[in-house]
Amino acid sequence: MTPATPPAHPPPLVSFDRVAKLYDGDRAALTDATFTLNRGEFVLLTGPSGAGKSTVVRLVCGLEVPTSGQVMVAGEDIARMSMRALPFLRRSLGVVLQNLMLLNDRSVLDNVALPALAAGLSHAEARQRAQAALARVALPPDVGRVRPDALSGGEQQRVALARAIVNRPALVLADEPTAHLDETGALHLLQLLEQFVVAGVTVMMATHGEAAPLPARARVLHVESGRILR
Amino acid sequence: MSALTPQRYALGRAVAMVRDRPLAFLLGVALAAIALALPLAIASVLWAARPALALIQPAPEISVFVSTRAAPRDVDALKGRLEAVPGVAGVTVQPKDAALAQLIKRSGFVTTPAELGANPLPDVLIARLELPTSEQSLDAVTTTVKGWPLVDSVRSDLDWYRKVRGLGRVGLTAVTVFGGLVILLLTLILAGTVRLHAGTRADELAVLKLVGATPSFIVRPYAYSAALTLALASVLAITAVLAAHAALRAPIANLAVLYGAPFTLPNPETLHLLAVVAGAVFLGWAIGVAGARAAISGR
Repeated sequence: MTPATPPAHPPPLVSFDRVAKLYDGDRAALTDATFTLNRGEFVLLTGPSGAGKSTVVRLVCGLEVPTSGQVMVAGEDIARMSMRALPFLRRSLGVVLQNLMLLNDRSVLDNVALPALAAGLSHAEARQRAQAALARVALPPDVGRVRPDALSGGEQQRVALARAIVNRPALVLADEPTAHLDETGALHLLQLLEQFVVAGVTVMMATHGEAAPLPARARVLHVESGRILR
Repeated sequence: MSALTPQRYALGRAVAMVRDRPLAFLLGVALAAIALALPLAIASVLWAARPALALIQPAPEISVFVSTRAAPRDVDALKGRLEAVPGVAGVTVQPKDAALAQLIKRSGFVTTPAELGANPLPDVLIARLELPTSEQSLDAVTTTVKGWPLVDSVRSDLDWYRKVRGLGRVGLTAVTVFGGLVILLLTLILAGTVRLHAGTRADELAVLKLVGATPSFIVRPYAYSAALTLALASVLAITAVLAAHAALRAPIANLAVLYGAPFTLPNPETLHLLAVVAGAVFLGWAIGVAGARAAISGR
C-alpha cells in the first residue's frame, strides 16, 4: 500500500458547471454559467439589477436548484441534497440577503445567536459567540439589547453580517450588502469582508459596485443578462 | 453541543407565541376544552354506570322450573346436576316460598302465604352460562335439562341477551364514532390554526431555514404551543366534568334511591384522567408538528 498523496490543488469550495436557471418555465435568470470559487478567495459578482447575481447567491445556499447544469458546494451537489442534509450545509455558510431578514420580535443578540442555537450550541455559548460576532463587526455591546428596528440601516447591515459569521462559516455570501449604505458605510463593510478573507474565510459578494470602490484583491465576475462575463 | 438547547429554545418561543397572541390562544383552549368535555362527560357517565349496566346485561341464563312435587332435597340434587352441565357457570335457586312472598308484596294483596294454603309456585333454578356462548350451546343445555325428571319446563333468555348485547354494541359504536369525530374536528381545527400561525411567521421560518435550522428545530415551538393548548384544554375539560359530577351527584343519588337502582356518580379515576391529559398532550404535539411541517415545505 502506498500512502495517498494529497491533491496538488484542493477542490474548489463552489463550482458552477453550465448552470441555467429558468423561472416560470421560460424566464432565464441564469444561462450557461460556469465558474469556480476557491477557498480564501474574495469574489465580487457585479452587474446591473436583474442580471442574475441574486440567483447565483440563492443557488449557492440551496434556496434554489438549477434548471440544468450542476452546482457543487463543499463537494456536495446542491440539487441532489436531501432536505435533511441541506441544513447542515447551510451551517457552514453565512448568508446576508438583500432583505436582511432580521427578526424584530427579539433583541439583536437573540437574532445573532439564532444560527448558533440552530446548530445545537448551548444558550450560554451561543450568546457568547453572538457577542463576539457583534464585536467583530464593530458594533458596541449594548446594541445587543435593542431590537433591530431601533437601529440605523448601516447598523442593521452589520447585525445581519454578525449573524452570518456567528457559526464561523467557511463561506460568506452577501447579496447587495452595500445597497442601502452611504459611501462611508459601504467602505466599512467592504473592509470588514476583506478582514474575513484575511482570516481565511471565502467571501462572495453581489454588488452594483457603485457605492464604494471595489476591493483591489477581489476577483470580479461580471454578470450581464444571466451570463457570467469574466 | 447541548441536547437541551433545542428544547429550551422551542419552549421559549412557544411561550413567546402565546404571549404575542393571548386572546387567540385562550379562544383555542376554550374551543378545544368544550370539544373534549363532551366525549369525556359521556365516557365518565358510562364508566359510572357500569355496575347498573351489568345488571341489565347479564350473561345468558336459562330458568329451570322444578315440579311442585319436588322436595327440597330434590331441588338441591337438581342444582348440583345442573352445575355439572358443561357451559354452566353457576346456578342460583329461587325458592318457591320466597317467590310467593314477593308476589304477594308486589300484588298488594293483604294476605299471608299461610292463608293461601299450598304454594302453587314452583322452585326455580337459574343457570348462568359461561361467556362467550352461542345459540347452539344454549339450546343444547335447554334440551338436556328438559329431559330430566322433576323438571316441568325450561326457558332461555337468548333473545333478550341478544337484544341487550346489540343495544350495547350500538351504544358503544355511537360513542366511539362521536368521540372520533370530535377528535378529528379538533385535529383539523388545530392543525389549520397552527398552519395559519406559522404562515404569519414566514419571515422567521425563512431565517431559520437560511441559518441551517433543521425542520425539527423549526416546527418544535409550534408543537410545544399546540401541546400546551390541548394540555390546558384537557385540564379545563376535566375540571368541567368533575364540577358537573359534583353538581349532579346528590340529585342522581336521590333519583337512584327512588328507582331502587344501584347507580352512583363517582369521580373518574385519577389514572384515567392523567391518561386523558397525556393523550391530549401527545395529540397536540403531533398536530403541531404536522401543521407546522405543512407550512415549511420546500427548500
